[in-house]
Amino acid sequence: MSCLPTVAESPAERRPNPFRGRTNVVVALVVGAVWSAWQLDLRLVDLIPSQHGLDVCLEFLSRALTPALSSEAEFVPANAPPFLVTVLEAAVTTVAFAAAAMGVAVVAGLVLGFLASTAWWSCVFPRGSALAHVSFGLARTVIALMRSVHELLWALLLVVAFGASEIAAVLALSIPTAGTLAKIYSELIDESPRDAAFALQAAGGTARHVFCFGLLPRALPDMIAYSFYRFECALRASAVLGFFGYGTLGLHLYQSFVSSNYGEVWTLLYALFAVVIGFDLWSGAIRRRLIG
Amino acid sequence: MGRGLRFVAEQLSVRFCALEALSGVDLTIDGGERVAFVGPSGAGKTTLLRALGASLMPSSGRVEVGGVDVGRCGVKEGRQLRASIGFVPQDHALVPNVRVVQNVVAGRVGTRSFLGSVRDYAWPSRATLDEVHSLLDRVGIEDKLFERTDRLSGGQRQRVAIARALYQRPLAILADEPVASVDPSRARAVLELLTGISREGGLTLCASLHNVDYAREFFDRVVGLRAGKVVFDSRTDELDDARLGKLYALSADELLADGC
Repeated sequence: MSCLPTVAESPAERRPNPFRGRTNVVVALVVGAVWSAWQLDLRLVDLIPSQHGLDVCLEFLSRALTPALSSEAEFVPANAPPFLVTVLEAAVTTVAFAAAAMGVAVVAGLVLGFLASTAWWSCVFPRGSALAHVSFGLARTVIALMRSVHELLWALLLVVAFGASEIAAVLALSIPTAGTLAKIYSELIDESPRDAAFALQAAGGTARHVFCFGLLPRALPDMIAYSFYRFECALRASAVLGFFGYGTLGLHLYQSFVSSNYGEVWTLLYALFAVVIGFDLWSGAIRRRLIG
Repeated sequence: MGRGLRFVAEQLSVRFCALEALSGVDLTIDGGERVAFVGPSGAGKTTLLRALGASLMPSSGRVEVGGVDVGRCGVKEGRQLRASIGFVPQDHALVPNVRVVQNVVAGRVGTRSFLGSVRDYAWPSRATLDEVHSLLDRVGIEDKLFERTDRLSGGQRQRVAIARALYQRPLAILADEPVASVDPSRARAVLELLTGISREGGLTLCASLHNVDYAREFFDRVVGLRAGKVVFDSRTDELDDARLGKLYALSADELLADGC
């Protein structure tokens, strides 16, 4: 009997069809998208701006190259600080809210991420346990609840509950961030290769040893990279918190926009760009140093 | 006989669901002996090493390591037993994104407290660094102490895995295919290193190998495994080619399973 394939069984003919079994999924996705567009009554004609809208847009865009260096408001109190100082203060407040929220979110995300990872529980109870199943399910549920509500909705709830305090704003940012971090941390830990963990188990290591020296170091680079990305998201969310009256860039953006002070809007937007780009450069340098 | 651990397997069977990886294995390895396990892929060599290393519980039969019945010892006793056995896995099982010194100090997790291990891992003392350095010197990569592990070659990683096992201060070394990923000249060097360490310290050494010539050259005794059973157990100088030929000969069923 020959080991060679016959002509009828040539590799080209035996090549699996990449679309087989997936056609229904593709059709369902397309149908879903078309139905959604119909349901929402999406019309391309709505993208044509009105004359007034066009004028406002052009006026706004025309100020991009001439951002305001001083206040454009008609009435400026005598004791008000210079506009650029206000922008700087707002930028610092934006970063401060994001940093405080990330501090809380990383700690909570680590604890919940460990509890929501199967690797953690298989290290603690190698032969399985009812406690492990209950705790794992509970952690997963808490994480889902935390991240299913947006930062702005958390802010709304917390401001109503506790008033517009700084701690309410930090919690509003940190709760969904912690939920998202916990989900990603748990998945990164669970997906990291287990070979080193098995080796440490074979060397007599406890569950804590195995988890901390075998699993965690392998997941850590990706965990750090993702945490930095979430910090960037927290910066943007922190800016938007200004809509609730907090002194971040969002507050001044809103006030300048409704007053049609577009030069100020551009200054504030550039400040936000600078914060995000500065953070990106800083986090990149740290990542390179930590992760190599 | 050396100070190394004595291993006894009696009617040892290990099953993974429907697959019987080991079936009724009887084996005694004295302290300080150097034994090679040979056989085709899937013969049960790795499973036997893991069972002897107390990392895998027998489905039936018993394993005794240093006079302790593995199936009957408690969690703490099991950990102490495993801490006295240096295991060198085939894939090295190192954490790639940390330094060599961190991978090596992780070898002593079985005898160190958690906080002590954290300290060794994050900020090793001068004495710890000296000890790791001398081990790396022993395995020939003393200049790689603070190198990131993923920047080492396959052969160098193999040596880090050996150094990690030696850092345990083991009474036995179990090496799973220690020369599978290195070229012939390096393979010879790795086996010289392992058998030299065993000879000097009187440590028991068990290694699974595919190359029978290496088994003959470096080991006192060769155990042939096939389909989870011991086919022969012989002193190296008494080993004949007919036995080896039988060990590696494919049956008609296996030939068909290979698709020919």
